[in-house]
Amino acid sequence: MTSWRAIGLVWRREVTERIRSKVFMIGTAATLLIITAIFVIPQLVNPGPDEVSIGVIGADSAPIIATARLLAGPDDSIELKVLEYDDMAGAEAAVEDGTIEALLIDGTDLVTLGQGSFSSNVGSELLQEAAAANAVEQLVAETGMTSEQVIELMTGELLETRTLSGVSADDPTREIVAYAGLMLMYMAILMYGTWTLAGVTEEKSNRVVEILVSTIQPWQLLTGKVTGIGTLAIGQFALTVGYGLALSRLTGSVDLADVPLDSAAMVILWFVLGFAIYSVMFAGVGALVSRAEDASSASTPVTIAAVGSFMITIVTLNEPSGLTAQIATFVPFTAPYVVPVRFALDAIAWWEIVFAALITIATAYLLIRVAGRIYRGALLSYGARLKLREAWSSATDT
Amino acid sequence: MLELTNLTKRYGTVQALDGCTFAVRRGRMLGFVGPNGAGKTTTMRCVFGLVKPDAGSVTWKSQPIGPADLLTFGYMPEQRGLYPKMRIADQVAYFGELHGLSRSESKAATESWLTRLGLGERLDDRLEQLSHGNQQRVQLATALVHDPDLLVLDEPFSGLDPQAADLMSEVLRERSAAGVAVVFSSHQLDLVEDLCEDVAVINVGRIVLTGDLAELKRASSVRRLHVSTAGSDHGWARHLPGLISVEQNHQGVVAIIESGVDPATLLAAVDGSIESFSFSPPSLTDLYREAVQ
Repeated sequence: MTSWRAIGLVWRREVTERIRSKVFMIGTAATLLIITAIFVIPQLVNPGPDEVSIGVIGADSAPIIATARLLAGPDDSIELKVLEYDDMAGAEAAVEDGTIEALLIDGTDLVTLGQGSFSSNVGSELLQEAAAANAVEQLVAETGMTSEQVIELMTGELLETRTLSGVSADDPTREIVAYAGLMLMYMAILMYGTWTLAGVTEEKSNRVVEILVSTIQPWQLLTGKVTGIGTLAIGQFALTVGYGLALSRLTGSVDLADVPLDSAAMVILWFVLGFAIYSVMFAGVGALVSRAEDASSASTPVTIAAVGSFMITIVTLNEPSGLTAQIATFVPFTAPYVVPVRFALDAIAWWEIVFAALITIATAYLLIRVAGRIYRGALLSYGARLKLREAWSSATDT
Repeated sequence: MLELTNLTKRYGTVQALDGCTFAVRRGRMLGFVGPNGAGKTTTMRCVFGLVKPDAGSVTWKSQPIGPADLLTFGYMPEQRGLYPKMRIADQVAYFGELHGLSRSESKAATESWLTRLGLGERLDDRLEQLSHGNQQRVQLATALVHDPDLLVLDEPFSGLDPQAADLMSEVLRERSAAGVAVVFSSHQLDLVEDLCEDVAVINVGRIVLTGDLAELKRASSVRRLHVSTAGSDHGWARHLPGLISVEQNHQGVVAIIESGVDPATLLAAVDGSIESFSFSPPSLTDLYREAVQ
């Protein structure tokens, strides 16, 4: 029997048995339900644009209000409601009970509730900005500019920008895709690592391992298991993320630009590679322990490696062409994090990408062979957790 | 032929195997017996490379055993175990395919074996839904599904009810008759005596007796005498010529006698009215006791 056939058989069993299991089905359904809730509930609770109510009292408020309406936005992102008051007591009572966020007096003074609050006072901010705009307008009145022109001057970007990389500075989408990919891969590695870990101890706890290893090589079993579990994990994850993206498009709750294809492809490729190398490490830990209960404590080093690599990457990418970033590109545990982001920032050469991918794939293969050897060595020591060196030396050959 | 030659294996201070040598021939069944901890399971694991002996060799058809050979072996390990949540037909078919059968061949062989073992109605049940005895049958099916040339079974009869044990015996006899080399370990010596042409007795990691059971009996230096008399006074038994050991039970006297003694002199030594008298080669139990003491 060829290795491919053996691995394929293990893969097929892993995929079909897991898809059939209630845990997988319920887990997938629950995830999709939660995603639905995340996107749909805010839509139901908050259907319209932000509404801001302010009050005015006394004279000379009109120019500020007019400018504030301009600032509130032509696309009505803020709906400004202005209430006029005659007596000060009534107006202050309205601020008190929250009917209005801010009260403008004679175009010169502002009254707010003044309590600490997590939500910023949009009304007073608007009025302050409008007053400032009017003041500037008065200063430049001799030049004959209108308030629209002044606002444009104050809020627009006046300097023409040209980037050396050719990537438009106005389009942060590539960067967003890469960083989102980084975050998602990090989440997926930690979430699904436990699947691989538990999966690899399965044959030991149900003791089917002796028949299996007397038929096929341990590394073939491990490869089939890691790829089988990985297929389902990535499938479930892709379904979740894809469903979330589709929902966000439909509901318009998140403003998504079109995703650049090359950057997305790079993110997906390295997602798979990163997932693979960490799965293999989790499998190695699973190979070492004989009981599922020991697995999670034994996996701490791998978890630390995943978290540490992620943090190193975040720090490194402040300087995406720097020395540490270049080194991290060729370390198989950080490469999956670093390469897509450097690619998005256009700070990596093609040969670096290819070389990094080869290193990562080679390391994954090497690790699965090592894990296979450990697996065989730890095989017949049912019970206590084995030391790495004992497992290695008691193995026959893989 | 499976040949194990001079296997030794030490675990720390424990000498698990210490010169273990015997052969299992095709078309014959070998019973592998010995006290607990004598090294039976370790020996069987050596066949599958699950334990690497410190010295000695295991060969199949006079060649060292390679991965391709392993696919033609069937194994029922001491540590029974299958996938509890997997349907039994899928499970057995999976092991058939792992041993090189095509998907359709494996499916057909699975159905035929599970039906033969009385589980034809339960192909779609998950393993955990079956009773312990039925789970054992599934375990046997996984060892047989790929029609192996060598069957290695570690304590296949333990925990079986008499009916299931009969079925197991029947299947093993049939496989052996079909030319398969069969070796199984057991503590049920009468069962081994009943089923096996060959035996190997292991004690403290060393084979102390092995070969064709009938020949071993003939060649033995002792004979078994079984006498029952009308009276209950068996004092004469202690004075039998060539006596090695004697036991009395409700069926009479069972004595182990040196093989050279003429049965006629024994018959003459019996005091009382004889109801039955037999003088025969020793049973496997006798040989075992002599070898393992």
